[in-house]
Amino acid sequence: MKLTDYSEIISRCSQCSFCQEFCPSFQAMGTENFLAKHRMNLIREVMIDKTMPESDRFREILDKCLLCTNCTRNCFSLVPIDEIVIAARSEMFKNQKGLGALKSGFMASVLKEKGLRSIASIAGSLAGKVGIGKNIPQISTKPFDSIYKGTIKAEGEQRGRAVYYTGCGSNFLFPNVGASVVKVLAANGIEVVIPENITCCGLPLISEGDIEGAADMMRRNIEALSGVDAEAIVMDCTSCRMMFMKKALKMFGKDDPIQEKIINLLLKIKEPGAYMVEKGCTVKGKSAAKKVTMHIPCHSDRTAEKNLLAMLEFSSAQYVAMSNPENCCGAGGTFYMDNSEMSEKLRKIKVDDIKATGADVVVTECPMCRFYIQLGLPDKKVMHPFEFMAGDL
Amino acid sequence: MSSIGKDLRKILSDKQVLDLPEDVSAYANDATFYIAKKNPDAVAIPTTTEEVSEIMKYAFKNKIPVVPRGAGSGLSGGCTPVHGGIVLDMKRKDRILEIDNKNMSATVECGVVLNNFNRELEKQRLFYPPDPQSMTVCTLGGNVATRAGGPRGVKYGTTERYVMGLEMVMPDGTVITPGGKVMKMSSGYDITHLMTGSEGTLGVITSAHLRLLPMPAMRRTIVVACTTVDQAAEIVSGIIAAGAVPAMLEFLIKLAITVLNKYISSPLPTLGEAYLLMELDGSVSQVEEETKDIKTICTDMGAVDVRVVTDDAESAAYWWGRSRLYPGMLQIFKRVITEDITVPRNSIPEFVRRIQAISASTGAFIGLAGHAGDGNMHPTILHAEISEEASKKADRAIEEIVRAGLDLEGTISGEHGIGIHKNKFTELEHGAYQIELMKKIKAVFDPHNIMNPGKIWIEEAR
Repeated sequence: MKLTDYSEIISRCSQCSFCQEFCPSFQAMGTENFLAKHRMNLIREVMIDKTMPESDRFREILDKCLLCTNCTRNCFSLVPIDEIVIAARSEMFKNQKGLGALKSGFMASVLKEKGLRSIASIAGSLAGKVGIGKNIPQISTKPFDSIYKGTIKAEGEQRGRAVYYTGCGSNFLFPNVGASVVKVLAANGIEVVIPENITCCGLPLISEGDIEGAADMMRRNIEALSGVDAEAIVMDCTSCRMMFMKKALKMFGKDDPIQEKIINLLLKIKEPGAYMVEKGCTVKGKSAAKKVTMHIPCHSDRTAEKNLLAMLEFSSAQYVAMSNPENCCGAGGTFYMDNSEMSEKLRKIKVDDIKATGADVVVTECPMCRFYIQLGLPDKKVMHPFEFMAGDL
Repeated sequence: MSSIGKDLRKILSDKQVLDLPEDVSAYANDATFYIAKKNPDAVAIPTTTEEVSEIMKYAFKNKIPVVPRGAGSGLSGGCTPVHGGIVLDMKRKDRILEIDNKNMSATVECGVVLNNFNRELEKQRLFYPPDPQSMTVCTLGGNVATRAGGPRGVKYGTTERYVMGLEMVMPDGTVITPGGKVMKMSSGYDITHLMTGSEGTLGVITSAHLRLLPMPAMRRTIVVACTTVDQAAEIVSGIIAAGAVPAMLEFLIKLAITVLNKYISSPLPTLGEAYLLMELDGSVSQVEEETKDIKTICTDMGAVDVRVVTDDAESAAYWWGRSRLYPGMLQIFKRVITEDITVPRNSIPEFVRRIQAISASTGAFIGLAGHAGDGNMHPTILHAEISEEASKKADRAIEEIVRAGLDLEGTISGEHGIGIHKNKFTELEHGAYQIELMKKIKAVFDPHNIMNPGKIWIEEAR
């Protein structure tokens, strides 16, 4: 959808301001100019009604949105706020005049040409620019897909067969997550297929406004996954799941034949823990941790956590909930690289909340939340729930 | 950079001042978009009383309008800058200074969010009843400034009943502390309660001493489906006449239920035209007894369905949904204008009949959802389309609703305040003499007329 097509939808915003409860950008900055509601009003005034100029400050306010989707999920007037911010960024991306245009143009071309491998190096160059050098995740010398290929047989009696869509985080940044998912699934009687020809889910691209680039990637993923014979597609990253579940259908025209393939796939996409619960698996946790707490990433669908908690109950560790497990940690993918002040404020609240639980280990599904929380919490172990189940401490 | 912004940066740090148009336009309106918008010249974000005082001294000297603002979640244009000037964003002055469970009082800064306050109180089994439906974001300072209330008004009244004392900054920067932490006070004029509900027109409320209650031992939700809107209104009267006092007694039309149902795990049957949503609270025996009484009254008066909700999560879902009805209505309608008429409780059936007649005669679609138990009905003009024609109908309907409410000895605002949304009707309600009296009082507090000018009554040309 073009930005102008959202005109009437933006009008649904009642201005109620209830998004103040959910918008991390507002909470960190503390003023209403950074509130989701104001972004809607500004986008209308600047880019639709054109009653205000498209200034640097306007772009900055738009760029300070983490695309966490918390406002959208909680908007009672059903305004798809994150979608509208993406549409606005897309318009600026096309005109190559956004604050993030240089960055996004570069990101898009490299991503498209070289695929997944480029993400960390882009992040690296960005980080170099803003002087936070080491505060970026390092690409592994042994990515998951260089070790695991083809089909991994189930141990013992086979209960099911699943495709494991390996997100960039589990492939390049934390390959041990991928390895843990495969190990835990296989150990519990699930045959795992590692698909060929898949690529990034496209979220880093739409965040920068490159909707078409993201759609190209999604198409490639859909084609690759459609060709595999399995009853489930498991994804261990909340953001990848969100891209497939909530965004994929909207990325293509209604008459595009890809739509039918997407619908068929959507029925199969699952959080791996949920799939295991469905298959009646019981995991014996091998962790030495006494207490574990969970950070719920913004892009989570909130059902995955229930299943993960069900899985964790089989381990000897005690689960202690934070007072606000759903609060944004400030990472926002690569957002923190450009917005350290705001992100650090949000992370401090998160870290204090974690410390108050007395947990030894923090589990979270999102690789970027994990990396960013770990940076701010060096004396505790932050890991993916499946690493916890696999017993890696 | 505006010159006001430049001057404010001498008082505050750079980060506490906003003056770019892209920033200040966030402060041009409140939780409505149908009231005229105007950008302030600058937004100041003080965190201490001293900073507020310094800003006021500057504004007083230079005769610059100042508009205090909490969350900006009001519905009457009370916190918006009619004449530009400075908006004081008070949200970052947000510390809970004291919760005193021996005196059953709390001292809070004006920017504390109501729900954050409630969460702290719950830990000590304490209770602060006022419950404006924007409680997840609205500030206690804003609540005091508008005498905010909500569903609990029927049993517990609104904010003014809980204000015991204030700290406020006068327009010239002087800090005063009217009232105190005492249960009663018969000493001099009651400046505390003159400030309460003054909508920022007399000074800046910077903190408040609030009265607390013990948490009720039990709460229970009841939902009653009624065949007609009239019947629902009669049942409300019946409940009140029988001496039952629910903590909340809400009136909803079927339309509201269809929105609510999306968020409730066991949806309500939509067999009635109107619904009553109630909460009873008190000791266990009290709640059990009232449940029985209310069930009998409702059944005797012909209600279609009386559902006693025993599951806490389900109860919470009803009230959560209720609190979001205003934005929820935008799922269906293109514009929603909420009125705040409150009538004596025995006049509710008559008021409801008059609203229906006004809806028929003006052609405006008027939804009824309100705190029927205390007579506060929130007739809501719902626009299916936005057009000049629809606006005209709405204006006519609003005027007739106001006249009907006043005719029944009601008030034009039970809990939202006047702001600029209803300032043309205050003289109709209070008479010229009282409005003149209010203006004189304002002149004594605020000789340069810098505090939130243009509100509550129609001002003379400046």
